[in-house]
Amino acid sequence: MALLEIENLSVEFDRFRAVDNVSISIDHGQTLGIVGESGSGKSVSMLALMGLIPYPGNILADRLEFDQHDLLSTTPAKRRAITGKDVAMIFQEPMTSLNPCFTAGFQVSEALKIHEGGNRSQRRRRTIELFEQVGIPDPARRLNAFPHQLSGGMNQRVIIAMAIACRPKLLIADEPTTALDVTIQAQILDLLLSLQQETGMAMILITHDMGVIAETVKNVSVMYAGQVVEQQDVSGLFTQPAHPYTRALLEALPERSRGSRRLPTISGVVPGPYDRPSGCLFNPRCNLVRDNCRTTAPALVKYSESRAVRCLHPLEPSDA
Amino acid sequence: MPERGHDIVVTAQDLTRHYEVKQGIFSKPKVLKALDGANFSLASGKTLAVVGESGCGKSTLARLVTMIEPPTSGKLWIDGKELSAISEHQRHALRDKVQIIFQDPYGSLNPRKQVGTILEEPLIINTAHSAKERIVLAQEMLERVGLRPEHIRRYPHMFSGGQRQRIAIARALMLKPKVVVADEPVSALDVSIQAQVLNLLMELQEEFELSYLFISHGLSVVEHISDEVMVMYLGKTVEQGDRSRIFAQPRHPYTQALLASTPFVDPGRRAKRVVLKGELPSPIDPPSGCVFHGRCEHATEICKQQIPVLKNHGDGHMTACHGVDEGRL
Amino acid sequence: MNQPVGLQTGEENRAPPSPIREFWHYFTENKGALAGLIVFSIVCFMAIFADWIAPHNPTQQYRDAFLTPPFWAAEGSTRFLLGTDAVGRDILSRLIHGARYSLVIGGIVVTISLIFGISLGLIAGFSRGIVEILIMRAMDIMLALPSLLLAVVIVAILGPSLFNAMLAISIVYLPHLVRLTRAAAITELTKDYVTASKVSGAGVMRLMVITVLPNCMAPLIVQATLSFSNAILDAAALGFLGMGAQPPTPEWGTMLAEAREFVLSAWWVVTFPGLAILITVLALNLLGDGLRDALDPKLKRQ
Repeated sequence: MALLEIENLSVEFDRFRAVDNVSISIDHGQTLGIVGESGSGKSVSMLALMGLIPYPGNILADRLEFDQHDLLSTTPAKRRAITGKDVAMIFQEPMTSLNPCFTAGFQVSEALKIHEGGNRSQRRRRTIELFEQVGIPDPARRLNAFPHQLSGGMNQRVIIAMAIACRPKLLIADEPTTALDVTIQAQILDLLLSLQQETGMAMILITHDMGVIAETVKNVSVMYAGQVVEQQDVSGLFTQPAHPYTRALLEALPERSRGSRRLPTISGVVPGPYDRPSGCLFNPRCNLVRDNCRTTAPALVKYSESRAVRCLHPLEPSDA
Repeated sequence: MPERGHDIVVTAQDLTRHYEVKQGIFSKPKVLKALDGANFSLASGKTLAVVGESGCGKSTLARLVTMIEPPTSGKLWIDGKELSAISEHQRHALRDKVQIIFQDPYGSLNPRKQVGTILEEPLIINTAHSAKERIVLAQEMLERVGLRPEHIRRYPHMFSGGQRQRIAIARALMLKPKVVVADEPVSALDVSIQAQVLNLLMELQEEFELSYLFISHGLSVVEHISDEVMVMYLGKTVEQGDRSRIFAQPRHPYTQALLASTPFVDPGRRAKRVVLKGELPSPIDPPSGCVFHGRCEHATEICKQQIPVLKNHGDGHMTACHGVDEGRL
Repeated sequence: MNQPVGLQTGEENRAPPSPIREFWHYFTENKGALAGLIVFSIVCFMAIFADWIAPHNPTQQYRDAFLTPPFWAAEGSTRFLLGTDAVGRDILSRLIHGARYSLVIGGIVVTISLIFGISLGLIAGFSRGIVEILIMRAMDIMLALPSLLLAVVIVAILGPSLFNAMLAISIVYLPHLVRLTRAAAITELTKDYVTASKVSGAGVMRLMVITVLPNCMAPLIVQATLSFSNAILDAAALGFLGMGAQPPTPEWGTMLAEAREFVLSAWWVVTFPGLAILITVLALNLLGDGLRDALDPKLKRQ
């Protein structure tokens, strides 16, 4: 049974659909990457799952199940009790994700207090254990450090320690390395992967960096303007993208420029709240657009267990 | 190394910038060596990329080259004039030769000013154009970067990140500079917008014969746009030379680690990756000898004691590493 | 040659509203601010046209009508709609004329303290070093003294009059504005757009006044409206001590102070000036909040 089943999740803000009929499912121990640019709705969909959407947002879904619990029909308090313990989320800015007024050790042991209990010395020991697990050198001394005394990489490790403190079944990482230096990014990604393998937890990694996706996850969902446009396993996605947006995105990468000076670009901009095109949302920018793309909105079609595309004329393997 | 036939627009010789950090009333202040001896020549129409992570001194270098701060020691020539040898007034006149583009498109434009005012400011300060002429120049530059002339009446918050970066580029070009210091100009942008802005930068470089001092930690972007590369770590230059050679055969262990740490867009290449251990040491208390020895797999005794010197190992490819000097690496 | 920024439809294509329309749109969304604006406009109207609106001369004493209650009470009459005070002056006329004094007091205090407060704050924020230390410690000393006491001392030195009272209050308000401006200036100075202006060659004066100051306005506007209302209250306190407006000036605060002894016997002499102050101060504060929210471009998008 899948650990997380989301079917047709939509999040609306005053009639603007930030997330439009998104379906995601992930099994125990699996890694899923959600990749998309700004305005794709990738962060908002995960925030909706965690119940972190602020006031005017409206969440609708056909199915929202975590570990066999139905999250739609429960009260917010019960939902928090389920997700708070078994789902952990880490964010992009390590320097602001921790409370600057409290030490790192205090914040981790707070998380332990709520979910695992134990007296102060037990929590202290467990915190040191966690710090070691996430690779913080000299953990006993770091317990008393304030966030501003630690570097970005260290802060992110503390946050990861807080996240895994309660042995979650699912870890959602929202751009966890975007604000970090490249070498530290490599360390943190390695850490996340090894933790994931050690503890068997599932991981959803949200990012806009295709390189991070290539190196870290097994399955990928590509999002555009609030919709999932493609779902594939990672090697298939990079060698044979099925959706024109995915292919255009890969071609715009400097790594793939194949020596020519000008990079292929995607003309136009992501549609905002006031200019949603009719038909396929990508049609104004697609270089393979055909007439029916402008009138008919494509549905997400599943080709196999792990492969789905939302396109009326998906790319054939020979087109890639 | 400068090529014949191209003018050199910027030359730096042992450029150094130290800051004094107070340690309380009773202790002697410590010295923070933000930049320690940078040497380069930038020719017109060429791009020199400065690569490194936080604390490597690249932002300090940007501030020195744009004359926001004076160097603590070393010499800097802009457009043939050596900065410490000329008067304040002459330095001021050099302002229109060097301009800057910043990383954060949301902070680099004054939120309270219209785009037209932002673009006209350099003209108001440095030239004697009439108001009408300034408006026309601003509109022309806006069109040149791909926006519409009527946008001069709008405020920055009405534009997306990529569009703001274009406005920032337009502002940098208003005075027709020879050198543009680009401090991580595409790092905060989405991939597809990044491609558009990079293309724009390269077109403008060809059209105006601009030189770029391109600061970035994104190696794929650097490989695409630069001619020469300078790799920095904790204020020191560790490797410098022609772009294709450095990317094909990086010699310094830090450069190799940087390249290895950059996620590669090919799932097939996942397995082998050298992950650099440890963290950046504190710049106030740098390690003795080679600043990188604490994290280097190949460090030996001499690395802990002697600071390596940037040496030319043939064809302008320079490295500061004892291991390379000794032929070990 | 040009990279077309492409197929933008919808919002970007419509010409954006002019800044004034946009400001008005955001301002009127805030109903409290709109109410504040309306009330404040009424007060201004009263102040400007006092000579024509007021039924009586504010300083004229009607010997036959001491302490007459308002017209709806038992012994009241429509001759004096809100009643009269202890020496027979019509309260309504005094309130209407008093609006002038309150607006002038608030206006002058705010103007003087803003001009000097912003200047000192900017200088402190830009210069750092010894100049900043001197300015801020001077402000700290002023803050350490009770504000009313300081105002009384200043007026005692300068002599009791309404203008000297206003000057004293302006001086007392300086430290708050200096601190606010300095803090805002320091924050803005770290931002890239200031560096960009420096690289374009902007000198210190241009940086201070044209580049940085407009971005510091939000907290200053709120502080200015608070100062306006506090000035009215402080002028009243000084008037009570005999150091502000001198009788028979129909200034609201002085009216309030003079009427202290009548709280129980003739409630209208105390209540109406008090209400006038309350309503004006509340309207101003709502107005100030609305102004700040509407003028701040960062609060404008989602």
